[in-house]
Amino acid sequence: MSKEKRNLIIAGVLIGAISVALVAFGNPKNMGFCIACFIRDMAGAAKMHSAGVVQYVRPEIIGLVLGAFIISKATGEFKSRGGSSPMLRFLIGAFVMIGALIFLGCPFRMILRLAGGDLNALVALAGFICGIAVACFFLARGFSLGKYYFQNNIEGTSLSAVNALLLVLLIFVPSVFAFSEKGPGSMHAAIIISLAAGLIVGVLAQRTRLCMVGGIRDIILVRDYTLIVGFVAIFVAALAGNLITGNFKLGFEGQPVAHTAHVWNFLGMFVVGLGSAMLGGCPLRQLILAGEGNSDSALSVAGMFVGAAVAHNFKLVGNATENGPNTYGKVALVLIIVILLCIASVRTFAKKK
Amino acid sequence: MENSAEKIIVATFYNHYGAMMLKKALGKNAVLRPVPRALSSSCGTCVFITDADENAVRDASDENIEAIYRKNGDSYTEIWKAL
Repeated sequence: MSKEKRNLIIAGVLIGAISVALVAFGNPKNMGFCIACFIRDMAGAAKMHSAGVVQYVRPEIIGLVLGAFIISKATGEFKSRGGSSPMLRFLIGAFVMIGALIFLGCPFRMILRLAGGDLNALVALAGFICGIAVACFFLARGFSLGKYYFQNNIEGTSLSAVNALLLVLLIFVPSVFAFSEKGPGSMHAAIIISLAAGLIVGVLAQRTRLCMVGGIRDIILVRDYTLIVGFVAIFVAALAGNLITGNFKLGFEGQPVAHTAHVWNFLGMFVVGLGSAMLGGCPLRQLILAGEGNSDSALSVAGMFVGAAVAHNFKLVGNATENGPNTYGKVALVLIIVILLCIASVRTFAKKK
Repeated sequence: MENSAEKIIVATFYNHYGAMMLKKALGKNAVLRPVPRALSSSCGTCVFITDADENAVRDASDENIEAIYRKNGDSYTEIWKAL
């Protein structure tokens, strides 16, 4: 076994275990980590949307970005770079967020939901794989968002600085934020635990390049099974953890923060797979790359933040109590698929010399 | 393929397509691989090439080539970079 695979297994097992532990410490079920849900909660805390049940400044997100920032600074891998279609990345980031909120989870939470026995995540996984496969069709024909350029260090440090500021405000002036009194936003581990978990996972993900999209993409494009190992290790560790803590419940119905609208679970994660593969990584990976100085990824994260606000303000999200998205959400998702395919086609075929 | 006695060159690209095109141009001597972790913290596609020199690789590549490395066992030496 290669060193890379071994490291991915170790990191995956640790991350799976940390995810289960975060639920035991207070996070919502099957939501030790969810990049989409957590960025959405932060958008709510910043009063970008007014969905009262999903407002909290998640220290896990702050930890992920700062963990990647600190370790990449320490190892000399921090490189301030960007300029590869920033506006498109912002838009695609927003689309990925809307897709994720229709399913109710990012690819990371999809694995954690699967590990909790939530079979709706299996339907979503099928959509996710299809989305990545469609992106691979375009990648193999020349799709690219363009070259990056090296930038001033201030550019690459910006998102980490914003996260450090959020942490200071959360600890010393929490009254500036809105916090949920009930619902998923009110369920969280203590700040120090969430922050430590985020920092550790941020370091591990930066060192191993763990990515939920990259593993499936590498299998399709180059028949390489390295990155997928991390994905599988998280699943196995979280499954074992859920069985031990009694949080495993197999089935479609009555799963925590989930709905059973299969078509929309499939299509929601189809958008996440397609969009993330176009961006070059899943939402977790975008946070890590942003921490490493990639301002393109920082813009994808900004897009996700705004996308979360749009998703809630315009009521596009999948609703756990009303069984899936309403008509607005369904129309928006179909439009997003059309727009993503248009962007992919133009960036693949229109620029050929 | 990875016999250390052989001369192995690794070319990285700004996009997957650039790597694919080089593989197509070089044929059997080239293999598509994920970029090794030792080379980069980003996760694109690269090309491992046996029995070719740097110039041949550059000539066969399009404008999307990012860097070229020589593989020595488990380590890599940068021999050319676009930026």
